[in-house]
Amino acid sequence: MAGYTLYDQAGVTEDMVEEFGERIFRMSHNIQTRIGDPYRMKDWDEVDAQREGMGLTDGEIAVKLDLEVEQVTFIRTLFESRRFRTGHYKRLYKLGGGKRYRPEREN
Amino acid sequence: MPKRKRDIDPEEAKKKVLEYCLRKGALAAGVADLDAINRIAPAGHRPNDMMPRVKSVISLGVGGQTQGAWTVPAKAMAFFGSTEGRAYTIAYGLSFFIERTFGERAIYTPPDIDPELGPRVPLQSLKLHAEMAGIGARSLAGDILLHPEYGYMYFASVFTELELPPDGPMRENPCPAPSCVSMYRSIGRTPCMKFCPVQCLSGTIDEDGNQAEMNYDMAACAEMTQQYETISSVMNEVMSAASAEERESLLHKPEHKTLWYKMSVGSGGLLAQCFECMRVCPIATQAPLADPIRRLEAAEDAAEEAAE
Ligand code: SF4
Ligand code: SF4
Repeated sequence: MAGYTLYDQAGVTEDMVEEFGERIFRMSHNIQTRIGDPYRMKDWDEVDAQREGMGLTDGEIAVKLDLEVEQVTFIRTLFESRRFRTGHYKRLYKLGGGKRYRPEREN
Repeated sequence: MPKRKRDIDPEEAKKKVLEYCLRKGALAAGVADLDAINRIAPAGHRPNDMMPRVKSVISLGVGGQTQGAWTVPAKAMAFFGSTEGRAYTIAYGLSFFIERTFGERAIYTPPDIDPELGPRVPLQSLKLHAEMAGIGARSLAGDILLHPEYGYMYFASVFTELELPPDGPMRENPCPAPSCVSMYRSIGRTPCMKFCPVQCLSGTIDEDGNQAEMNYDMAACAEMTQQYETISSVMNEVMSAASAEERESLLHKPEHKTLWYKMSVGSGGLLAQCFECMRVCPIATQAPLADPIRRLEAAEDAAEEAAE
């Protein structure tokens, strides 16, 4: 169907990707921060306090940003793909067998 | 529903279940605290979202690769480094063992992604199951679970309607190892942080030598494992190429052609993997029972001691 894209199906525009992409990405579990060891310690207050740091589900993000969950999933997965760098993997080709990664060698 | 209700002693049943795991090659196994998992896992990813009447979550871990594997180049280890298939085989067998032994329903828990949510969201967190079963603790290496005796394991889970008494999480977290604390005190980073090829790990250690903060850029790590969006990203780059020559060189450059090769031979279940943080981790590589040679030596030491 001409002009009927996945954007239309998800109710998302490129402006919305622009506006929410980075925030959704950071709120999701793509970026994780854990303080202390709350799961192992069963420290439920900390578990709850750290939910956003450890990554929210699309449903939880949707509630916070007043979006539909399908919109969040669409924007998150699109943003993940746009950020994905296919060239990094070849760094591994020089490692192992006694050689370790050194950032200074990348330049 | 099973036709008959059997009189099962949960402690006895647990013993048989864990014995099965160890007999089939698991290094460690435990029963996770279901209430704790439900308290932590988000809605949609709790055990009863997959198995409505689940009563117990069993987690088992198999050892990582051989000691020799750590000596090979990363590009070779990427083909064979993970041993998760062995864990899945044991879990699969365990689900059948439970049904035929106790007459209660059981499932092998798929370790796979949630197809509605894209390739970065699992149906269930096997890591959380293992942590709550007390067979691993979160490390500074992006929360990879470590065990003080077995180092770095691969985990699998089984859900069952059989009632089993749960274990608790590990009392101590073996990460950071003392040598990592020393390195952190001197350069502000631990080995896993220093040698990660995309520098996606950072964190802090407190005055007592415990983890204070763990930061993990999972998206950057995903670029090194290639199991996520590599193929579609490469295709997108190819289709957006400005010229026929550029398209041809993108499609046919060696690392991209290798992806087609890996897909066609079904290489290793995953397209590629990165082990660099574990390669330098003293717990993963030097825990007392971390690899087959260490386990052999420990068995020999024990036999010698018993003979004295
Ligand atoms: S697997 Fe590789 S990229 Fe990921 S955290 Fe470990 S060293 Fe870094
Ligand atoms: S190298 Fe291993 S033990 Fe040391 S901080 Fe990293 S994960 Fe922990």
